[in-house]
Order: sequence, then C-alpha cells, then structure tokens
Amino acid sequence: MVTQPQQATQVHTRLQAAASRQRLGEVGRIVGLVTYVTFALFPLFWILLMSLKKPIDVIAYPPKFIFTPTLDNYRDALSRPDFLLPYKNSLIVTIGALAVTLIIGLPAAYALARMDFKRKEDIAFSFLSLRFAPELVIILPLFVIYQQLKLYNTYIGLILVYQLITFPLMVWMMRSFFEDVPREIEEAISIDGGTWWHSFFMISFRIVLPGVAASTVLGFIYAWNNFVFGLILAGRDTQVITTGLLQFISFQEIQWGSMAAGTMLTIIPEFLVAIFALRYMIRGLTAGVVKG
Amino acid sequence: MDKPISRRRFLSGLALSGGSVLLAACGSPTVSSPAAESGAPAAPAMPAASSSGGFDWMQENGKTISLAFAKHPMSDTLIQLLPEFKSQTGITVNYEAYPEEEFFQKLLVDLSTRQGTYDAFMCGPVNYKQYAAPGWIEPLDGYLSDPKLTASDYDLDDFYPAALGVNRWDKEKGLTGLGQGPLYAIPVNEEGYSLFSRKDVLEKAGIKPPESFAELLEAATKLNGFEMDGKKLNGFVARGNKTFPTLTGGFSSLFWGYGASDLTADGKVDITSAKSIEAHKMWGELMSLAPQAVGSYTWYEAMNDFAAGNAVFFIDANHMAEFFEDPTKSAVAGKVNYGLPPAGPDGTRACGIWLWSLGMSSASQNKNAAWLFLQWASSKAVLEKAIPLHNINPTRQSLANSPTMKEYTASWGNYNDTWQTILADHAKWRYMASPKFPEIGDRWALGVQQIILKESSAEDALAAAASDIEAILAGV
Repeated sequence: MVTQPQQATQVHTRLQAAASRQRLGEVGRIVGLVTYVTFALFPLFWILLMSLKKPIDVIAYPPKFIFTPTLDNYRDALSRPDFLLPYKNSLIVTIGALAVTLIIGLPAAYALARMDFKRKEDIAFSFLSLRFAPELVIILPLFVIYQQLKLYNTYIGLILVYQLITFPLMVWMMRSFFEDVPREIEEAISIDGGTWWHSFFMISFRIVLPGVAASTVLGFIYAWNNFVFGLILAGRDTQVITTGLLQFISFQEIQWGSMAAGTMLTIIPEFLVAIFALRYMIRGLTAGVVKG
Repeated sequence: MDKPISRRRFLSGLALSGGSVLLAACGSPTVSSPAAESGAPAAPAMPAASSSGGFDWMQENGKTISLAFAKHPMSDTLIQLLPEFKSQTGITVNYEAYPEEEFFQKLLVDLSTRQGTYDAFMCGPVNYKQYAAPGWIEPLDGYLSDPKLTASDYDLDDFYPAALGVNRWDKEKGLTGLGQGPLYAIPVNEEGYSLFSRKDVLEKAGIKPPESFAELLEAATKLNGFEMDGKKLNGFVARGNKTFPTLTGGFSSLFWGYGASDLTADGKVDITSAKSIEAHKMWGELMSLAPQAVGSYTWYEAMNDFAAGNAVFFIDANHMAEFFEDPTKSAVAGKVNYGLPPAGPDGTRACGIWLWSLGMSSASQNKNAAWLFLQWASSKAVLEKAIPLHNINPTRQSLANSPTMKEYTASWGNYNDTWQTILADHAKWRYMASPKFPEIGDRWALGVQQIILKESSAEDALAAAASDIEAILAGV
C-alpha cells in the first residue's frame, strides 16, 4: 500500500517525466526543422555568398566562407543591357499573364464552384488538362502557330502562353476556395435582392482573398521561373530572365559571380510578391470573423 | 471598417489595372538592329561599297535577315562587325546568341518546323549533316557559281581544302560520302588538336618534347608527380567525359594515328580491331596519369586544369593558346610548347578537326540576302579583321601567314607554325559521316570512359559499344 504523499510524489515525477519528454520532443522538432531549413536554404545562401565574391574566391578550393565581400558582381549585372532587358521583359510578361488570369480565371473558378451547367466537370477537367502535357511536347506545334500568327517574339504571345501555367492553377485553387464560402451568405444576399455579381464581387471575392493571394504567388513563381516557353517562343527583344541569365555563360568562361548576383536580383520580385501576398493571407484569415 | 467596394469601382479598378498592364504589354517590341544599338551610322546606299570587280553588294538593300549564333569568339566577332555589313549591303541583321546547348535546341525547333525564323546560322561538322539529311540546310554551290551573287574576288580555293572537305557531304553515299557532294556551310573558325607541353617542366627535367605516343607515355609517367613551383603536377590531362566531343578532341589523334578506323571498308563498325584496342589501352594508360576527376572533364575543365598549371601534357584544341597565353587568366603564359599531334606506332600523325561554319536555312525567305551575309562573313577582308577580335584560327590559307595573324600570335611561342602544319598536313574529319554521330559518339565515349575509370577492359567496353553502335546505325 502506498501512502498519500508517496502517491503525490509519484504523480509529480510522472508529470515531470512527461513534461521533459515533451520538452525533448520540442527540442527534437526544432533541431529537425533547423536542419531541414539549413539544408533547403543552403544553395540559396551559397549563391548569395558567391554573388559577393571576387572571381578568384568563387573558384577557390577548398571553398571559402570568409572573404572580403565586393559589390562588383551586382554592379556588373546591373550595368548589362542583356540582363536588364530580360528582367524588364519578365516583369511585363509575368504581371501581364497574372492580370489576364485574374480577370478570366476568377469568374471561371466562381462559375465552376457555384453554378450548375452542362458538362461542368468536363470543362473543369479540360482546364486542368492544360497542365498535363509536358511543355516540350506542345512546344513544336505552338512554335509553328506562333510563327503563323506573328506571335513569336511578342509580349502578347508570351502572356498567352503563360496562361498554360497560371490559368489552370488559378481556376482549380480558387474553385475550392469559392466552394468553401458558406452558401448561406450568398443566399442572404439574393434574399436582399442582390444578384450573383454582388455576391461574387462583394462577398465571396473578399472572403477568398487569401486564396487569391496564395494562387497569385504560386502563379507568379511558376511563370517567372519558366524556361522552355521563354527559350523557344521569345526572341531577342522579348527574352525573359530565365534565358537572360544564360548570358553570363560565355564560350570559355562562366561568370559565376555576376551570374550569382543576377540570380539574387532575379529572386527579388518573387520575394516581394510573396511578402505582399502574405499580408493578404493573414488579413484574410481574420476578415469577416467579426462583424462591423 | 473599410468601405465596401462598390461593384462599379471594383470593376473599373480591375479593368484599369489589368488594362494598363495589357496596354503596356501590347506595345509591340521595337526590333533592334545591331547597327542602331552600336550607334554606328546605318549608312544608306553607298556606291563605293560595290568595290569588288563591279559586284553589287547593295543588291538586297533594305532586306532584313535573322541569324542564330552559339556563344563563341566567332559569333562575338561577327556581331561586332555587323554595322559594317549593314553599311556595305544595306541589309539589316537581327541576331540571337545563346550558349551552345540552348542554341542547338532553338535552332532545331526552327529548322524542323520549316519556319525560316533564322535565315542563317552557325553549325559544326556534326550538326550540318543532321540538317542536310532532311534537307533543312541549303546547299551553297549554286550561289558560289553565280557571278551575280558571288564577288569575283571571293576565292573559294583560298580556304584550306581540309576545312572545305568537312562541309561537303554526299548524303546518298551516307557514311562514306564525306568530302564529296554539295557544300553545305562555309567554314569561318577552325580548331586542330595540338600536344601542349610545359616547356619549363621539360627543361628542368631534361626531357625533349615527345614526338610519338610511346614517348608521350614515357615522359608523362616520368613527370607524373613532378614538383614545380611547389605544385605536384599530373603527367597528363585531356577530355574524358562520356560525350562525343571527347572523341573528336585529342583522342582522335591517337585513334587514327594508331591506324585504327571506326568502319571497315564495307561499312561495319570496326572499333574492336586489334589496332583500336591497342589505341584505347594507350589512352587508358595516359589518362591514368590525369587528375582523378578526369572522367567528368569536358574541354572546359581540362583547359582550366592545364591553364592553372596542374599538368605537364595536354592534347586539345590548338586555339586554347589564346587562353594559355593570357597572364590574367592563366598560370602557364609563356611556358607552353605547341607540338604536333604525337605519332602512332608506325610514325603516322593524325588529327581531328572541328569547324564553326555558317549555313543557310532552306526555309529562309531571304536566301540571297542570307548568302550575301555568308559571303561577307567569310570574305578575306572580314576574316582578317576577325583575327584580332579573337576569331582564331582563320580558315583561309592567305591569312595564316598574314602580318595580322603573325602579329596577333607573336607572343604565343611556336603557335603560328604549328597550327598551320596541323591543318595543312594532318587535320581531317575521319569519323563516319552519319547524322547520328552525336548518338553514336556518345555511346562510344561511354566505352572510353569505362576504360579510363577501369570499370571494364578495353576489349569488353568496345565490344559492348560496337554492338550498340551497330544497332543505332541500323535503327530508324
């Protein structure tokens, strides 16, 4: 038989053990996450270091972590028209593609989520199917069509072809966001005499804003990073940044430092878009929770 | 609380933001010509331009052509000189230049879809056959023989016969049709393969530059691990990765110098012959004196390794001299001897060749204008101007000993004599003339790599490669 104080001590130790187990679990999780983040971000970190190195430090073996940093690589990248023009082109084309996708894709997603019409699932599926075909399979016919329609080497042509990337993404992501909006809200609007346009633009759209932000970020990243479309369908005037970065590779020499600087500069727009969208994602989480 | 956005305001906002982006985007990009970019006067018709024996360089005045270039000193040179072409012919040139791999992808898309986006393009000895087989590249003999289209002072015979021979191919004869039939491209830049050796090391060790592969192996073995300026040197270095350019480089001097051949007289794959096996074994021994990672080396890594002063001997493209002799990039400036390719067991010297040439798309809508560009770019005057702009080696015999070439290579030791001897006496494209050579060569080079890495005996590796190559040749 155990006395009461003994029992209390036992419970206490057990609790302590549980707590330390928990703490251990916590520590393990943190260690695991830190390891993963280090692993995932290290290439990026290495490129950042490379962008601040002199050529001799870039190729130094064993690799150098301590060196005198220089901004020469950034100066070089920013003074090269063959880097700046593709950069500008990529901004125009990616933002243009997203604008088109938002204008057409959002109503499409809403319709697929809320309205009933014939062959709805077929239509949704055919949007999705745009993502199925590997780019390399469709690039030859696209190239021929673009030549015939004079879309080769034009911004419009690239904005259109980027729809293959951004449009299905937007429609399918937003469709599920729209489906999550309680139907009751829209019914309330129609009882008050509002049309579906009211419920789309004034209510549903605002509730799904976090979804819009998320799919915009993803669309931006996928479009910005695309290589094949830009390589085959853009000419010298509309060259995009992914092929623009290749300009740092010359015949006998790869300008690692400048290329790394160019890569870091290329990440900036994606970074900004992500930060900007994050604000909406967080605001969106709480929007509409409290009336007023 | 935020003001609710009215439908109209939202719509107009959306339209404005979206529309303005679209408007900005729709502005069709201005077509830039190099002449406009470099600020050179885009001179209109100048009668003085038609100086060569009454030849009318202005006959295609006002036309626009598009060119596709791989990034290379040759294309850099021509791009710099484009304003001169514009003022001489009145033809506007648009061009695109990409690193080699992307360049070939893009060019292939255009040629295979017959769109004629590019009127003229760069190509190598392997690629042009790939384009000639289906008729995507225009044979040039008709243009050359037409006095209205070719200036009387163009002088085709001035080109090195070996260089022109590489670009002639009778596709009906296939594997054995090289050097016959139509001329598909005009050679503009040539590389042969020289044995580079470190003069300073050989002097210190009291060894003469080797003249044969046997001597090379002996010297390289002796000097492997030799200490020079506090560095332990490798005896040898060369390309070793498993792609076909490994074969077309220094390896070709060994293989053909040993009297081996890739095909028998009746067109069967012959790389398992006794001579071939002997040559491959020699290569394996030489490469065992190279850095450990040599199995992954392309010409680029091998060149940098030698330029960093890590190896005594290196066989590769002779024009790397330009890189070696630049003290800002290389630790071996002034220390390199440029030798002929070493001889095989019976004293035969052989050498491969690589050319960068200009060809014309048969789908071009501006063939005459494109021809004027090809002719201009390979004319004596332009090729001479191209020398100090790094287009080494020139493909015309008259330029080899020109003051320009002598002056440009003055500080490169015995370079200017050696490359001419190689091109005049030894260099030749000897491998089978197949448009599938990249695939065939890759498979063969894989076997070579297996030998270098000692994964397989020369006999086994070559037998496996030979049967795969037969299958590639027989396949559709």
